[in-house]
Amino acid sequence: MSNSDAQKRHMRPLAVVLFVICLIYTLGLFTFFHACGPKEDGTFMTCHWAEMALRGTALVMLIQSAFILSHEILSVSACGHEALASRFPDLSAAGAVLVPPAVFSAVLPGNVIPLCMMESMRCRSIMRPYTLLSNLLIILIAAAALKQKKH
Amino acid sequence: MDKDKKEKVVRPGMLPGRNIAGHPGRTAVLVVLTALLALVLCGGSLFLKSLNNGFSTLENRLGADVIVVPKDAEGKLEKVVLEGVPSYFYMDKEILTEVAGISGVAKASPQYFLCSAKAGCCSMPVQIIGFDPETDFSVAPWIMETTGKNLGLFDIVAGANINAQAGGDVIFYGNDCHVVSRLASTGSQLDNAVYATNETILALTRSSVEKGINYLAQNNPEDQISAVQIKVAEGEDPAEIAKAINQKVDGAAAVETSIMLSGFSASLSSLSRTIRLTLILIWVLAAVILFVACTLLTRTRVSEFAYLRTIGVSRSMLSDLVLKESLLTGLAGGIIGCSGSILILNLFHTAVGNAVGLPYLTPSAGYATAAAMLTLVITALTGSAAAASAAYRSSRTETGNLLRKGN
Repeated sequence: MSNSDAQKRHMRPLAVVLFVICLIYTLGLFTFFHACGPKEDGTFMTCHWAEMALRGTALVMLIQSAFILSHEILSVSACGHEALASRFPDLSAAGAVLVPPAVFSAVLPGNVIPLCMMESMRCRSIMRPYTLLSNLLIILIAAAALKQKKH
Repeated sequence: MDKDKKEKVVRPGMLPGRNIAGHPGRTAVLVVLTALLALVLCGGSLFLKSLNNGFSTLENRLGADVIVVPKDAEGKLEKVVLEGVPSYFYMDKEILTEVAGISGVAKASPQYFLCSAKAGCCSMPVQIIGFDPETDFSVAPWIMETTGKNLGLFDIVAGANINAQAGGDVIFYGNDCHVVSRLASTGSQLDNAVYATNETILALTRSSVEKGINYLAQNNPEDQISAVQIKVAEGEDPAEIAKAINQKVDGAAAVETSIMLSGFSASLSSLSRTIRLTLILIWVLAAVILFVACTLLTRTRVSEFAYLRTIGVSRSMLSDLVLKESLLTGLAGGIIGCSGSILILNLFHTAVGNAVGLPYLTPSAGYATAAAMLTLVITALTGSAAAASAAYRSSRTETGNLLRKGN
């Protein structure tokens, strides 16, 4: 077995880590780390629309990280799926496909779409820091993935 | 060819780094363990400091020794000051004159509480606190410190948790209020309030009455106040002054601020004790796990040590190698853990403060750096001690035995 073959059979943990973080981030936005609820009259505050935009971006990032993971699984499965694997982005492309939406998500709440007035409100105290922290992690891991050689 | 040969030369000094890079799984285990240890130690100490900071800042910010409120509003005052529940209550302005006349009262200043209607953007009302700039000693000094000038009509100073930029406007009861400045954070519920002079409060109260919102202020707002802040004369006992006010002034209740804060103080000390105990337990547990992990990982390297011994590496060099490796992984884990705890506690400071229900003020960058450095030293020393004991045991074994064990 040549060196390159041995390398192919190795599943790179970064692809799994990236997918898991994107999954946790998306699930968090849909469950505990959401913005403020509706007002008494049933209407929503501006932070609700920030949450909707974040959810959409998070779903896109989750799908992209799933594609990267699929490429990784198909590449190491050695079942002749190389042609199919090549249709999905490689881990080394994570920087290109995940960093722009992650940067956008990090600056979106409070800058692109305004949040509520009080720092103690849920959108500012929980959703915004969670978004910042998660996207910072995604950016760091995606940047680390840039160093990975293409499968 | 020569170039390739040169690249393959590994000097003894390069061995620790090469070993760490060459065994990512083993390194990851040690780094994660030390990172957890650092996260708990650094995070715990910063959390405790934040609670102490919050309490002392609240004590300073309150300023008054005794606060006088309407007889039925004692509970409401605590809710406003300690729990941040916006409220308003009123009593006759004459009470100010009566209180100021009591012997032992050095300074007495009125305050006006108003609660905004839910603002257009949010479903949360805001507490508006008015003060008399001429007599005030508790609010005015730190507003003066922040703004450098007195507030005019419809000028407001926003608490740190109100997201209004200086120079902007906020609408209360249909009036455009100009935000002169934002106050520094106290970590307490006072950060959720807006401060203005009495003339602004009176204008806003009139607007609220006109809009039919403030049903408590049906009388002339100019004849009413919400509270009287009292500074007692030097040498006087605030408890005695509060007792005298309660006896002599009808319709008013005097609350000693130290008594009001004693609940916080008791919760703070019991919480601090629990956290310190938990920190020690976690530290001991993490140190034991680190010792066990180091011993187990060193055992898996028996043959590696034996080969190194056979090529002339001395016992002290072997111990040195293991120590350097553990120091490097300890530092890496420590940096990750400390940065993680600082990042999480800073980003989620409001959520953490809300969750503990006590004044919570994040410490300065200098304190955080000092805590992180101390944690780094502790984690690196713990990791090194764990590795040193494992390395000592390995180095005491004869090379032949090591080789046989390795096989």
